[in-house]
Amino acid sequence: MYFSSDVSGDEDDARLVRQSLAGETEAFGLLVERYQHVMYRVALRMVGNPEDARDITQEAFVKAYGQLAKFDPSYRFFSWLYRIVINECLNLIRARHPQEPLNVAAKAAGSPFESVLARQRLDQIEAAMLQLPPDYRSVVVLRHFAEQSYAEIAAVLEIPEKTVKSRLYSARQLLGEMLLGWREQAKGVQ
Amino acid sequence: MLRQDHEALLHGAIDNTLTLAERDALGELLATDADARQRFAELERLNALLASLGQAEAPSDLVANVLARISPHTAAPQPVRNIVRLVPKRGVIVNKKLIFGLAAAAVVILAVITYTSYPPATEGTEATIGAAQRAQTPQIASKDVGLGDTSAQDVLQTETWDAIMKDQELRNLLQDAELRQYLLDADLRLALRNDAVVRALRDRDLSRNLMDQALMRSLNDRDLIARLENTNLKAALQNEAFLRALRNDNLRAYLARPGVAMALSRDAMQRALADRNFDAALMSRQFARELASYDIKK
Repeated sequence: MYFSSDVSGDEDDARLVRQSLAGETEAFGLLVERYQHVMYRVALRMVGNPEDARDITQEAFVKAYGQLAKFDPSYRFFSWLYRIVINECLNLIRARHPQEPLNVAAKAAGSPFESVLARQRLDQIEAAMLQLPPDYRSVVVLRHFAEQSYAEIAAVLEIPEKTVKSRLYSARQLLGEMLLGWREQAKGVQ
Repeated sequence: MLRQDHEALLHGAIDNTLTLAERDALGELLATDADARQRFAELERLNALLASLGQAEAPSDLVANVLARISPHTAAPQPVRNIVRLVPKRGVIVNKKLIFGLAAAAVVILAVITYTSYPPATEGTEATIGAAQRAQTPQIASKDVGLGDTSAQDVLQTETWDAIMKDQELRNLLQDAELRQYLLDADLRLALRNDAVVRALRDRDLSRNLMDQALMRSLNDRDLIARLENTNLKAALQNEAFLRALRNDNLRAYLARPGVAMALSRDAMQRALADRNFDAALMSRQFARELASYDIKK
C-alpha cells in the first residue's frame, strides 16, 4: 500500500477516550498506538533529533493522559494531541542554548542539488527544515508530514487561516531558496 | 514574480485544496503563463523533496513506555502486542486479573489527578495543555472528507504504476509538471494512443521536423500536409487532436525535446494512457511525490 493514514474515526477515538477515563488503561494504549507514528513524525521534523522526538512524543502522550478529563470529546482528539506535541517541541527549541548549533549541515547553496548523493540530499532537506523559524516550521510540518488542512493547522496553532497560508508560502520560499536555489523574494505571499 | 492570487492558486494545487472553479483557473493559468508553469514545477519539486524524507516511524517501545509511565503499578513495560491482546473485542483470551488490576490502578490515578490535582503540573504543562484545549477543532463530517486522490491511488497500485516505474526515462519525464499539465487534455491523451501517432512519435526525424518552422507553418494547410515527405508524420496529422496539439508552440517544442516523443510512444506510457484513472493521477500531488521520491526510496 502506498498511502496510509494514521488517523482513524473520530467516534472510535471518543470511545477510547471514554474507556480510558473509565480506567481502561489499555484503551489509552490503543490511542497511543494509533497516533504514535504521526506524532513522532511531527516531533522529529520539528526538532530534528530522533531521541528528542521520542522523548517529546512520550511526554506528550503522558501529559495528554494526565489531562484527559479536561478533553472535550466533541472535538478531535488528534488535534489536541498535535497541539501538545508542537508545544513540547517549541519548549525544547526555546530551551536550546542560542549558541548551540543544530546538528545539521549549512545551506545547500553551492553544489547543484542534482549532483549530490541521496543521503546528502536527505540531510540537506532536514537541515533546511531546521533552519526555518519555528513558527514557519510548525506549519510546514503539520501540512506536509501530518497532512492537516489549513483550517486544522489554524486551530492547532491558534492562528488565523490566512496566517497559516502566509507562513506556509513564506516557508516554502525559504526552503526553495535553500534547496533549489530559488531567487530570494522580498516578501511572502499574504 | 507572480501575482499573489496566482501564487495562491499554485500553492492551493500543491495542497490539493482547489475547488473545481479554481482548478479550471489553474489550468488556464498554466496553459498561458510560462512563469506560472515554471513556478508550479518548482513548487512540485519542493513538495517532492519534502516527501522524500519519508514516513518516519516511532520507536517500537514507545507505546510500552507510555503505558509504563501512566500505569505505575505495572511491573514492567508491556510489549505492544501484549497490550493489543488485552482488548476484549479482538476475541482473544484475556487475563481478567490483569485487566481488573490495570483498570483499578487507572481509576485510582485518575481519581487522584481529578480531585486533588496531584501530581502537580510541571512548569509549562498548564500552558501546553491549556493551549491545546483551546486548539481543539470541530470534528469533520463525512461530507468534508475529500476523496480526490482515490483514483490516483488506484493507478499507483496497478501494473500501470509498475510499468512506469520500470521505464526510467518515462518516469523522469512524468516528473515534469509541464508534461502532466499537457496530458490533462483528454483529446491529446486519446491522440497519443492512435497507431499512426505512435508511429510518428517513434520516427527518428520527428524531432527535426517539429523544429522546422517552415514545415510547421504548413500545419494550417491541408494541401501542404498531404505533400509532407515524412509519411509517418503525415499519417499522424490526420488525427485532428494531434494536429491541434502540434499547433501549440509550447507543446510542439516540448515534443521536440530529445527522448520525449519516444518515451511517450513506449508500452508503459501506452498502458498509462489506457488507464481510466490516469488523468486523476496526473492531477494528484501524491502521484508526483511518488514519482519524484522513487529513486530515493530504492
